[in-house]
Amino acid sequence: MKQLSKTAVLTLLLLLCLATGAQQHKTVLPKTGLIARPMASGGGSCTLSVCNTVNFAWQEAAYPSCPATSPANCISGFVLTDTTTNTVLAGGASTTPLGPTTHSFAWTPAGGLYYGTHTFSLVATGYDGSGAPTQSPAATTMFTNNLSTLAAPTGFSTTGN
Amino acid sequence: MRLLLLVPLFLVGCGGFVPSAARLTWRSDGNPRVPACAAELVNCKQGYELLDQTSQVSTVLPLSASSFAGTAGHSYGLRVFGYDGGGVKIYSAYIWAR
Repeated sequence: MKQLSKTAVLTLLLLLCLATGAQQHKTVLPKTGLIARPMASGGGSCTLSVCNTVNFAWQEAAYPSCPATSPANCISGFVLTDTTTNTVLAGGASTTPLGPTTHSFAWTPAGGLYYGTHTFSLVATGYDGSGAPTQSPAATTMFTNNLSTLAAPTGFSTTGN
Repeated sequence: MRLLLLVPLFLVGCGGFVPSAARLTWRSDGNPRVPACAAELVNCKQGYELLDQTSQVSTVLPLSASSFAGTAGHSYGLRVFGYDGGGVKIYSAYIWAR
């Protein structure tokens, strides 16, 4: 009986140890607290109809930056996406990189800012405790650029028959 | 007598009594970054308003339109309309063609 309870305790300890070990490898990076606000070219406030930039900011992630070799339990950077148009704005393969110590990004779209409401998401990318790539849940924010005027149509002409 | 018969034929032949057509065309609505209206009429463009200034008749056309069969000799104004951030209907300035 004494031997049986000793085996049970040992089994329990082994299971506990395994569970703890597994948890160490299941790192989920925290949300970042993304916010967006308008900014006129050159900084400062602006009337929304003339805004051409959206300024994003987010909180510092509670993980260290990844080292060059054997990264684990760390952040390698961020990816910012316009989920309304499904376009990566920064941090993607062919866009401006967002390193682990970067906590803001000013987005000035070529051709001018959209009108209406867009939703944006930010995820932190990094590596879990076992060194496998992982990412945080998406932090989201919305930004509305209100329309106040419309430009006239172009190229209007008439030809008689 | 023969002359009296020829006069109406001459007028019809020259189109004197039948208004001739004019083809109105335009290139774009001029607002490429403004989305077309969907269910919610906010921050969007909805269509064109074509004004025949000579007869004072307005015609509403969809955003997909890029031409209109008008009347030769009439003056036309074209403008785009939509809704601002508060849902208020707004119009562009007219662009004119004759």
